Amino acid sequence: MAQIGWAIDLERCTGCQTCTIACKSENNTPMGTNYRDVAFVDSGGYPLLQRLFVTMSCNHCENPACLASCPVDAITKESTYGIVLIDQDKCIGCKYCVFACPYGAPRYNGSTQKVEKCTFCIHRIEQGLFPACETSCIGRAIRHVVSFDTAADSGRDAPTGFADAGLTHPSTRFLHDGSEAVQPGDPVAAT
Amino acid sequence: MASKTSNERPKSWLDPSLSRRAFLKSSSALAAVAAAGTLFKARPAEAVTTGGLPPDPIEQDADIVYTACLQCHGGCGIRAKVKDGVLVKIDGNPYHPNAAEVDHRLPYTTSRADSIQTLGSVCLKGQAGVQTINNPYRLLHPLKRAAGRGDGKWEVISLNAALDEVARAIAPYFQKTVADTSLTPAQAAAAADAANYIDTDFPELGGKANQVVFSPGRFEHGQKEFTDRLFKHGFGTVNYRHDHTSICETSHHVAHALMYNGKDHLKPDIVNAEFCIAWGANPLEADFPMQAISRKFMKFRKNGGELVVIDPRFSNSAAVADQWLPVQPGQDAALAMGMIQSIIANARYDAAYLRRPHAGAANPNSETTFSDATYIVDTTANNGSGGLLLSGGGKQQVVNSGGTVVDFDTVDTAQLDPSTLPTGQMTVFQLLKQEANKKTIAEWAHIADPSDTVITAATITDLASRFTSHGKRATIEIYRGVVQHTNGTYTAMAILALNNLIGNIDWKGGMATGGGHWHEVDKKAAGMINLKSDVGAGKQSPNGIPITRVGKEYESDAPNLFAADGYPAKRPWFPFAGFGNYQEIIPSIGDAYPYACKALLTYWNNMPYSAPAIRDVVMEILKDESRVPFHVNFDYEMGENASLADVVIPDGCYLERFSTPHVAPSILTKASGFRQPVVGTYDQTKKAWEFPYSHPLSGDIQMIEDLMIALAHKVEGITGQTWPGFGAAPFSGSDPDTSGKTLYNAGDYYDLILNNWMIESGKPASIQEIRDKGGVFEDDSGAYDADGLHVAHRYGGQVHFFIDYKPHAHAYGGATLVETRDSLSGANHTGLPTYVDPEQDIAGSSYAGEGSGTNVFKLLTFKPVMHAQGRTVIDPWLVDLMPDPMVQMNTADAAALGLKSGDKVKITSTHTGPYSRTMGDADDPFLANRAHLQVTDGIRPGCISIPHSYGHWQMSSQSRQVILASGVTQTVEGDASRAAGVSSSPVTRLDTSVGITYPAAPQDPVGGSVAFYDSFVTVERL
Repeated sequence: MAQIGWAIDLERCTGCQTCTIACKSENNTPMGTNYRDVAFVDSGGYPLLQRLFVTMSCNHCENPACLASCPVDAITKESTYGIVLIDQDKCIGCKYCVFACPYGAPRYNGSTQKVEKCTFCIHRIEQGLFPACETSCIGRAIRHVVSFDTAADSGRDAPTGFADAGLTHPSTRFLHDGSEAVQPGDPVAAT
Repeated sequence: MASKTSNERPKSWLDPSLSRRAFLKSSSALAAVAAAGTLFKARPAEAVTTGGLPPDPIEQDADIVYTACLQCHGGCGIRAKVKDGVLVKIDGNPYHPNAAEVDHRLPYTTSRADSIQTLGSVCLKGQAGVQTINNPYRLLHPLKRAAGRGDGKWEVISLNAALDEVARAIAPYFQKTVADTSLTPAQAAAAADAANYIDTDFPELGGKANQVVFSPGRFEHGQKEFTDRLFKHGFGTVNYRHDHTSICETSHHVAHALMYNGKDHLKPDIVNAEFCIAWGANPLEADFPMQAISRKFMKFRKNGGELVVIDPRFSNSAAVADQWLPVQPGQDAALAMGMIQSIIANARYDAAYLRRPHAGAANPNSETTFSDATYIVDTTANNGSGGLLLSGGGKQQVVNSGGTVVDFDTVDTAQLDPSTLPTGQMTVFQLLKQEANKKTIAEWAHIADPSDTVITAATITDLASRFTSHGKRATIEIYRGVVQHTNGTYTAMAILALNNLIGNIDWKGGMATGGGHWHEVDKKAAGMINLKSDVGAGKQSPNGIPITRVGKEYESDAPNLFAADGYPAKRPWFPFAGFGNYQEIIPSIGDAYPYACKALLTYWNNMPYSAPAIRDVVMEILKDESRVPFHVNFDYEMGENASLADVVIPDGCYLERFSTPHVAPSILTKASGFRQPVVGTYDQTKKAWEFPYSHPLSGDIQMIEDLMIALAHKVEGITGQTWPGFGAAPFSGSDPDTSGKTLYNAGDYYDLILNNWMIESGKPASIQEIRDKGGVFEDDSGAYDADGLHVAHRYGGQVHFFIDYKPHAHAYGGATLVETRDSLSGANHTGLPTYVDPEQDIAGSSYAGEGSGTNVFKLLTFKPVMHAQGRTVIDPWLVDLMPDPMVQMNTADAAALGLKSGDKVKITSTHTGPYSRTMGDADDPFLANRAHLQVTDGIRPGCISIPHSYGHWQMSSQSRQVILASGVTQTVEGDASRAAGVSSSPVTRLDTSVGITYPAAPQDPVGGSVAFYDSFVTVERL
């Protein structure tokens, strides 16, 4: 099975949270339910304060804890891209997945009383477009990787605090070594 | 040290246990509003608030309108995705240079059809535009007050009735202009147009038409030129456009204009730079165009570029910098002077560049500019007030390499630091050196950082050394942080002098003037039309003193007023404030100085909220019918200003307008963006007074240009006189290219602009192509010169350290800076970059004593990345990223005062007197219990900083009563989320050293910037 994934260049993240809002606008999520968010991690103190911005959403893991936890099989790993999806018709809103996910990706929607999360903008991927967050990222920190090598790159170069990649094998790697492993404009996989 | 998250609402991913608790709480006021059924998108409210909606269908060509953003002033090209007549998503226009980098942007020749699969980017504010257009509280119909001003009770009236009210208010002053403002009082009293003078005792004030004041807050190109045409050349008022720039960063423009001959804005070519100081600038959050600058700065960092951020607050920009220097607010010039001293002492300036005295001099190093550094100043001239350039037969003088004084244009190089000049003569370079040597570097460092911890002499010499270690590829990005001070212009000049010392202008990786734009209203080629001032029969040429005294020198331009009052003037004059003075508009009207206002027209302008210090002054004046007999506000929301008007006429938001936004010099290629409505239809066969725009929500929403033409049409009906500039014969007829051209509505006007662009640029094949692509854009191949050394679009002029010349634009034309007198002291202005103590009022009295005490802080404000100006508080997505805006205080200060994050506080100005106040306490009429603390290491001790955009008390945060046409009274309930937080403005220090009845906001006497950062406050727990 092919696996799409994320390459997040932490040296390019400006902390602007455009990704958060682009996702909301694209996916019509309600207030308070964000599929993508930016963490602000401070270290040091005045005047040598340091602050790291980390943008993250669902990592579309190779072994998703959410999928394993779902009692009604509402969560599936879609076969073309390996995108993890929650079937809103099947979800009963028990929130097991919310507690199972080591990354906090599933988001409970208090209005529908169901759980939603990042779909990797599969509706856009299928049309040859990029995910909304990647398209909008003004620092160009967010890149999708068409064929993510989970064995080699799962959780690679993750910042301190990122949950142990060995748990679920997330399809996300980080870049902060000045490398340009993923070039902008890489085409989305032809289906 | 311990790691911690900085955000009050834990952002999950790195700490899942926190995240689960956080997101299960549906905490914000916004969530409550959502549950109550507020529309955040134009969809069935239930569907939006229950979530689970699928994304909108992927857009097709027919769904896309390319236009331009205006959530901030960046002017980014956007593509609006419109499904079934409803705007559902905003992305970036892939043709626009703000929205796509070199490797990604589409060439202009790419067909529109081929553009659809390529998306540019747009920032979070731009994305939230769908909430601006679908704002459920927006004004849809004209309102006339049904009770006292500010009482919150309104009656819906028709658009025609509203415009009739305005026409009746302004008609008595229509074209009441005078031929000659230089007459003596006796001559004026005897003149044929004597009745038109405001006061024949003071002919310099001009005609009564000047008593009608038009003040748009945020106004865009296209709109500006159009209303100038109508109000200046049609109505005849010198007060034809007083906009907001002085509360933004006007002294930054003025300092540039003074040093670069009217070129008022330079930015780094950052992607090719090796070193950059972001000085009082926050490119990752607030600078503009924020997304383009952010993208380019991150590329610069990726390239290995070294970034230093000088800012008392730890911004997102500081977070990605190599070094953060939290300078003492307002003392930036001390740091700059220390650097200048170090650079000169260690000979780290570009001597070959500075010694080049004129454009025709030998040019072995391929310079495009030259400076006045070698010019001789006679320091005894000009009454000893700083001297004048030594002139020999009308030419500036320099010392040649042989030690002889010669004309500047007779040598290829001249001496910077000659020892042969007689006493009383020095070169400009020597004067600058003398200025920088007034204190030791250690003394400058102590001013810049009285704590002697973050900035020492070693810090300054090190920074100076690093800045001068990259040849031309070192840059300084300044913005409002260094200029919105009482000393703003001179501080900016001191910092710009650093760029001049290495001669980095026009160099790749240096400072650039940007690509600019094609001309919308100037006739630059055959076939183009001068839309700015080619006006038909009856064209007015207003004269006299603007009500804010900008562009005028007190003594020479108002001789009769000066004879009556002498020094000090009753309110300050601003001969060099070429971009206006926003904070003086209403207090001047209140003081009727220099004359009374009869009718005030405001457009998208929120003065009580936006002008610091003078909230209560502005509100008192706007409520006073004797001082403001009539006030109409054209606005999109019931803002703090609209709430005090007599008549409010609804305005479309930026997604429902035309205009022609430019881009900042961060963009090195030419760009002329075209803003056009994304919803509704515009019927260009209708005349403006037949209301051409059909908006999906209300026929009362029309273009401002059309409202102005309709108003003019009504005034013609009342007065029987022609209001020139529009209609069947809008032009003089002297230009054959205007033959047969009519101007009946906004559509006609913008067609002519697009035609001008088409001709000048030679790029689009039709004006429809401009509409289809959202503007005209030069490709990236036009950014750099073929020589590989320079940017293609250059300044190419003289760089001035000493301002004894007349900059050609945006500035006073009567005299040079050194020859101009301050209106209060009567003393000449200094012509050099210099250090000025910021803690003094405009009359020159120090108030540094107000800064002592254990709980006294310097008051700061900042623009967080999710907001731009005060208007973005209407976008719930943006507010939800910071629903609880806080007053930031340093950890050590909070510990000393026993304060902690979340504590409710009250903030009090330490300046006492009328209108000085406490904010946030129970007695605060607007902002009670709204100020609470965030304790952080990200701010300099002794300072507090409050995010801008919050602290509204109107903007539909309160309910209002509206009497509908049916006679039924409806209560429009407010949205509490818009009432979050406080702002710095209510407790900014007033300047009581001037004014008759009303004090002033603190301000820079040269550039006219208001001072946001020079106030002291106390902070106490509630």
